[in-house]
Formats: sequence, structure tokens, C-alpha cells
Amino acid sequence: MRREVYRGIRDVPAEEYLAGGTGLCGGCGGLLALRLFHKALGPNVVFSNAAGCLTLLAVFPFSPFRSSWLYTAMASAPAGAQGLRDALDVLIAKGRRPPEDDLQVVVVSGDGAAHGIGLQSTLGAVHRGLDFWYFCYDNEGFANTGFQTSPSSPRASRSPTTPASAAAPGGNPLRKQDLFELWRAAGPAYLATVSPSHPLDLLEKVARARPLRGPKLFLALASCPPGWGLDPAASVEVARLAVQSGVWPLKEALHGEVRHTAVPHRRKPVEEYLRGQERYRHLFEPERRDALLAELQAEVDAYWARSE
Amino acid sequence: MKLASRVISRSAFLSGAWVQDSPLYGAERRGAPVVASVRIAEEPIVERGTIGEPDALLVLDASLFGQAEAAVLEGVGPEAVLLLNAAEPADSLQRRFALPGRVLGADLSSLALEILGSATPSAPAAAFAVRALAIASWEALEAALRQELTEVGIEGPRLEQNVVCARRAFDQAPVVGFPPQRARASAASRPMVVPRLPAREAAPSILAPGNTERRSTAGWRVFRPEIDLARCTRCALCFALCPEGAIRLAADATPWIDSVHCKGCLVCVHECPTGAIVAVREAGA
Amino acid sequence: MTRELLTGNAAAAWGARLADVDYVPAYPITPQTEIIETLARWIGEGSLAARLVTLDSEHSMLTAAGAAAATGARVFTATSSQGLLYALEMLYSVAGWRVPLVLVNVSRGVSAPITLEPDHDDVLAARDCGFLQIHAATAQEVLDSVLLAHRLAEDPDVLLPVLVNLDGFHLSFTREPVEIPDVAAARAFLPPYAPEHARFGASHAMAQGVAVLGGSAYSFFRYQMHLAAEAALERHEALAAEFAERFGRRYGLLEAHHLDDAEHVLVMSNSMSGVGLAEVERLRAAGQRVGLLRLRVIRPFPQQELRRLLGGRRAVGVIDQNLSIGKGGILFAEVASALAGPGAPALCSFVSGLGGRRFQAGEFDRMLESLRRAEREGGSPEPELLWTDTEQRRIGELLRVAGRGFGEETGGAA
Repeated sequence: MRREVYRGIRDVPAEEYLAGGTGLCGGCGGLLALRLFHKALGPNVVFSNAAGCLTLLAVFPFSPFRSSWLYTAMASAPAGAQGLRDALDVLIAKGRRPPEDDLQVVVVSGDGAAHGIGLQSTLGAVHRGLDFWYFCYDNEGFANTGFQTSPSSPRASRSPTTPASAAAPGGNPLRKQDLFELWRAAGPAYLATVSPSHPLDLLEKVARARPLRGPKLFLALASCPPGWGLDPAASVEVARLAVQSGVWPLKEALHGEVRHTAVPHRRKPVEEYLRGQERYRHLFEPERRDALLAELQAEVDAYWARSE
Repeated sequence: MKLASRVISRSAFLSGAWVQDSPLYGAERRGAPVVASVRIAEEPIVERGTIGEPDALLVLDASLFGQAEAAVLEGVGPEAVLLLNAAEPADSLQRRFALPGRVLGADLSSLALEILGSATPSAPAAAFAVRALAIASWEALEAALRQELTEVGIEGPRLEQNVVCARRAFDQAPVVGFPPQRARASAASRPMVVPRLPAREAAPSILAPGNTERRSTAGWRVFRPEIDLARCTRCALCFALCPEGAIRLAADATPWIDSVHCKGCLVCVHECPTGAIVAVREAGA
Repeated sequence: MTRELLTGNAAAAWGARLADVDYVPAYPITPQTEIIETLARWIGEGSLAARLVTLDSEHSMLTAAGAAAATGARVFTATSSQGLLYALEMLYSVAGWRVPLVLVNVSRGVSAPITLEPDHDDVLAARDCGFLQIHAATAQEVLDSVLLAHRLAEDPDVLLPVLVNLDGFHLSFTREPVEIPDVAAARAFLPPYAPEHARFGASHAMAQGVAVLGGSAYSFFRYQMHLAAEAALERHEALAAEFAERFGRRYGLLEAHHLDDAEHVLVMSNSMSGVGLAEVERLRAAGQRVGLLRLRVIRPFPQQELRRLLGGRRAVGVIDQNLSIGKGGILFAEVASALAGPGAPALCSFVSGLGGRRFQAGEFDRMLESLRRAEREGGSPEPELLWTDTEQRRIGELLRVAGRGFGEETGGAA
């Protein structure tokens, strides 16, 4: 993808809109992605938050945001966004607030609250054409409650609720639910996957979405050191491997039309991505699960074959 | 911290005591502050909940003393035994933070780093506490350690390393025992009728944007990143990729690290293309 | 001021219109839907400068309502039974955000079994969440209470959302004469909403609804909600007095009928208290010294006023149109706890009206007899579930038709 606005690292805005000192884990990929996202949006933002790890960014009496924040509920952050957007519109239209007081309305949600429980309110907001952003940090599990399997957890990963056991040596038997496609079917103005390992791609997508009115949905891979079982230092590298192995495609859909923004032509083997993570250790020890590993590689191959 | 508390209580349990242990955490994931309570008695325990006046306190992160809202010393009286995981000597810590009671220290993180390869001090901390407070014998502690570690999926060589590490901490710990049981101190607080605030001030809103800046996360670090400016090419990748935004760029693009808000995740060390950032053992952690 | 024939629903919509609300998040449910349809029509015609948006569920609807209020808009919404319960999580949240808004509940029995007819299990399920609650008995009172509720919610000493309840069908769909205040008078009573404490805008960053960890801190904020609700007792009286001056109609925390010489008092709420009043007047005409007390403001619960009015009576019977399974009448328990102590009257509990069950002939006479017995023998917390042999025969027939015949004991025809 040719970037117009964010061509090099020097183009990454210097201003920080998220202060340090929060209680989030060191090396949190979701936090890095949000930090970059906020840089591209600027300061005039109000976040509507659904329950998840990032809810604990603001714990009384502390908030890291130089912007505004409303914690709503697990199921209904997009409905909160609806209320925020509608109220700002009405107040400005009625002259009770100056237009300069306007804010961009942004839902912040983990994958746990974006799938299942949150789909109702998300699809409702998208269907109504709400002018808002949705930032989903996908760490592929219900991380804040101890990393239980969520609809976003990949097949063959293990977790406290889908342990690799004698009964289920492959861990989670279900496929990762395709939130990108579910959202795309609802018809948002803009939709993209991003990764904290590719900051310029992330920032550029925000710039591309910005002039559009309507739902602008972002799905960010959030590498998770405690949940995935990684050394925090490797957090960005693992996210990069997800992209380079083709497991996490970087793509966007402008009015529904999908385009990949980074195509890994010589894809690294999926195994290289899986190896560094405790949540996949059962695929390698005590013995290699060759058949399952082959299936996982085949799924990724098939995705890219369809996309070319 | 939860693991350490469970090993301590199970050691006592295996020695014939009645115990009760429970964690209290802000969220069930690493990085969230945790307080664990252990009660040990000869007879069944009827009380429960957080402990108001501990006889002993085990602190794995001494930098918490510097954070007022952590209220680590709440209810800790002059007779209490304080067991600290720190490289800094105990008397120095006692002076620095005006700590009450009897303070014993041990550099458990370094011990863990040396034997386990990672600064996870749960096992040696439990051993230190069990020995210092004369809670149980080594045999009981070892049995407790093996059972608790197995329950969280730590087995094989890793389990054995934890046992070795615990043994070192156990052997090195001075034995002081619990302070004598005394009648509860008279309440420092008095009852009062809750005053009604003006309604517009009564919601838990925060009107001080970005005030997490007042909180230091330096105490999280076991290693600290340091930039060798001679090798740095000013590519600014470290600035871009720091999850905390703790790396800033000067006007000439020279990076500098905000050591108050760096958590020591070491992503920058890992990502620097020229290896200009190195991880240095944090003094006093 | 105009005099019109309005349903309870239309009266509720008029209350919102006169309050010049900014935002109406909506979701349809019987028997409330006429409210949002009326508002949608008026918005379309330009009679109301508000935005109405249909959300994807009542849970989302209340979230949007609270978020809009937290931004600084004046918000009105409506629901009923299943919808209220679906939104219940958010009722607690919105109240905890300390933002004002008015929620009209059109009461309807809750599933299961599913029904459309009224009772109060729905609205009373929300009595603990921090919303203030006003229960209206007539369409006039509905209109007036919505207007009053916006003012009360926005009161600087309160800042809690308010729920106004009206019975489905008996009130929501029943037309009766209503005096509609004129716009200027309504505006004078309810000035625009201009909050300082909760308003999102680029000029000032703020975080609302954040996590509060630590028992003492959490307790503090919950206590503050309770203290504000208690303050609302006095504020309601002051605002109701102002309302009376402007519009000529006086509303209290309670509504007392024939209490001056009453030895026995029946306590009711909502629209069926009108039936109770008619019965009480019939009994009085026959020489019984009986009175009726209608509960109107349910939250905050007017304990002192109740004690003042009922202390020293010989016996009091509470007629609940709700049933807490395993305990009994909900309002009975609340009244009983308020009256506890020396001088408390003997207390009786009656349950009727579930799913719209009509009072049967003679039931008020029998309830009065129960009160007289209680006066002699002492009261009882056990609820008397009102039922007749006629109804028993009918249910026997229905069970038989459903293929469930039970024979003679159900009274069904062979």
C-alpha cells in the first residue's frame, strides 16, 4: 500500500495522548496499538469503553487520557457511542455548545466484548450508519478475566477453559470467528485490520478513514504477553510474525471493497509464529502434532489463495 | 503473589494448622496489583476478608511503599514483622520509607533470576516467609511447593528449579517467628455520619486528564533499557514502538527514556535495529 | 392550557414534549409503543426539536440514554416489563453515573408466563438501582409527573435519573380528560438543562463511569447516591409546591383519602387504587371507618410520612399487585419495615392484580374483615393471595382444554 501521510517513522506524531503510569501489563500490544491510533486521531476524542483489559486504564482517581472516557458496559459500548454522538449533534445544532466543542466518538473494546455479547449493539450502530470509530484490540481471548477462550481465540490454542488435555489434545477446537467479515456484511464506511508491529500502516489507515462519515471499524492484533505466554520484550516481534506468516492479514475495506495493504509474498511458516507462544506449546511438546500443524498451515494457505 | 500466599498457607496446613488464604486483585491478569491474605491458627478460623492488622507483611515490590494510594502499611503496627524482596539492605529501606516493626530483607528477584532465569520470586518468597516466621519445616514447605506449582501447570525441570531456589531462600532466611499475639490496638478511626456532597461532585468522575503521570511504574522493572547514543542511528523506532510512550524524541530526534514510566518490558531492546539499547539489571529491584 | 382526551401513553408523550427533551432513544414494546410513535410524529412535524433513534435493544437504549445525558443532553425514554428487565444492568449504571433522565415504564407482568397485561413486578424489580420512582394513577398525573421528574432529576441536590410508572392498558391505553399545560408555563417550571458536572466536550477532558476499586471508596459513592435520594424527599415536596402554584395541581409523596377518622387503612398504588377508592367510599357509606392511602413516590421511600399517617391505626392492609416469589407482597414488606416499632398497627398483606387480575365482587369487604381480625388477633406477614371459586372453576376448564384434566378438584366440568 502506498502511504500518503505516514511514509516514515519520522511522520509518527510526537504528541502522546495516553500518559504513562497505568496498570496495564508491560509489553501490551493492545496498548501500543491504541497509543498509535490516538496519535492519528488527535486529542478531541471521547472513548466509549466496553469491559476488558483496557477498562483498567482509568481507575479512580486516575486517568491516563488527555481526552475523554466513559465506561459503559460489556455489551453496549457502541450504544454508548450512539448516545454520545447524538447528544453532541443535538447540543451543537441547538447552539448550546459551540462547534469547536465537538469530539470524535470512539468505541474501545477487546475481542471478548466485540464478539458475541457486543455484536448486537455493534451491528445496530453500523446499520444506523453512526458516525463513529470502533477500535477493537484483539488479544484472542477473554484476557481480563484470566484469558479464557473467546470466539476470537484461534483453533488449536489453549486456555484455562480449553486446556490441552487427554480428551482434547488440540486445545480449542473452534475456528476463530471472522469479525472482519461479520462487520463488513453490516456495511461500514471503512474497515481495517492493523497490527502494532506495523505502525505506519496503522496510522495511514486512520488517515484514510478520517474524511469518511459513518462507521470506521478497526481490528488491531493485540499481542498479549501473559495470555499468549510470551516474554514481553517479544510482544511486537510476535505481532510482526503474525503478519509475516499470513496469520493476521493486514487489509482494509472501503465501502465494503477489500484490499490487502501488506501482502507477505514469501510467507514465513505458520509454525514460526506459533512456536514462541506458550498457548501453542502443546502442538510441539511432548510431541509434535504434525497433522494439526499441517491443517493450520493449510488454512492460512487457503486464505491467501482465495485472496489473490 | 497468589502463588506465594498459597505455598505459605499450605505449608502451615500440612503442619497441622487451620489456614485460610485468599487473593484480592483488581483484575485477573498479570500486572494488576495483588494483595493476598493468609490466616494461620491452631483452631478453626471464623474471620475472613482482607486482614486489617497483619502480624506479618510480605512485600514483593518495595517500590509500593512510595505509592500513597497503595496504602501498604495500613494497619501495620510497631510489632509487625516486615519481609521485603529487595536488593537494598533492610535497615536502609526502613529508614527511607519510615517502616514500622521489624524489617527483614532478601534479594529474592536476583535469586530467582540466577536459578530460574526469570525474576519470578514466588517460590523463594514463600520459603523466606515460611522460614523467617517459623511457620513450617522444610519438608512441609517442599511438599506444599510441589503441590501448588503442579496445580498451576509448573512441572518437570522448571518445578525442580523452583524447589532449588526455594531451598536457598529458606536456608538464608533468619528465624524471627511471629510477633507475640496482643490485644487489637484501639481503633485509630472513629465512626462518623457520611456527609452528603453536593450532587454534582458525588460521581466518581475524573477531571484531571492524564494524571496517571503521577504514578511511577519504575518499581515494575527488573531490567532497565539504556540507550547507547553512539550506536543509535536516530531511526525513532523505539519511540514508535514503546507501548507506554515512555520514549521521547528530542528536537534532533535523539531518544530518551522516561524512567519513571518505563515498565521494563524491553520491547525497545528487542526491536532496536542496531542493538543500541541494552537491558541493564535494575539496582534495588 | 388545553383540555383534551388523552391516553396515559399520550400524556407521557406530552410530558416529554413540554419538557423540551433533546434525545429519545427508543425501542418498541407493548404497551409503551404509542409513546414513541407519538413523539416520532411530533418530531417529524417539527413540534418537538429532539432526535429519536431506535436502538437495537432496551439494554442499548438505556446505554445510549445515559451516555447522552452524560454528555449534557436532556433525555427521555420509555419501556416496559421485559424491556425494563433487559435494561436492568444499565439502570444501575446510569444511576451510578449521576446523570438525570426520565424513563417511563408502562407496567406489565413479567414472563414467564408471558403476558401483556399490567402488574408491578417489572417496575419494582428496579427499585434498588438508584432511579427515583414515581407511580402515577391517572393520565393527568402521568403528564404532570414526567414534567416534575425532569425537574427533580436535574435538581442540583439530586442528579439521579427518575422512573415514572403507569399501568399498562388501564392507564396506557385508556383515554380520559387531561389538562395540557401551555408551553410557556412548562418552560418557566423547567428551564434548560445546563450541567457542569457531566458534559463531554473538547474544551475540557473528563472521565466518567470509571472503575472504583477498594471497598471504602466504592462505598462512599454508593452512599452518596442514597443520600441524594433521601434529599429528594424534601426536593420533591418543594418542587411539587412550585408545580401546584403554577399549574394548580398538588402532588405529595403519598395521597391520603379519608384518613382523618380511619381505624383501618388499605394501602395501594398506581391506577387500580382508583377502584380501591371507590370501594372504600362504598364501605364508608355503610358506616365503616376505613381509609385509603396511595403510595406515589416509591423511591425515595417516604418512611417518615408513612409513619406519621399510619402510626396508631388499628390495622393496615397493603394490597400488592406484585409478588416476590417466596416472600410475598413487595410493598407490604417496605411498609411493614417503615412502621416497625411501638405504636405500629396490625398489618395484613394481600396480593391481587397480577397480570391485570380484576378485583372480584366482595373482595374489599373480605379484606376489611381480615383487618378487623388482625386488629383482634395480630397481623401476619403471610400474603393472602386473592382467589375465588369462580376463578378456580375457570382455570380447571382451561387446564382441561389444554389436555391437562385434573378431575373434580379443579372444579372443571366433567
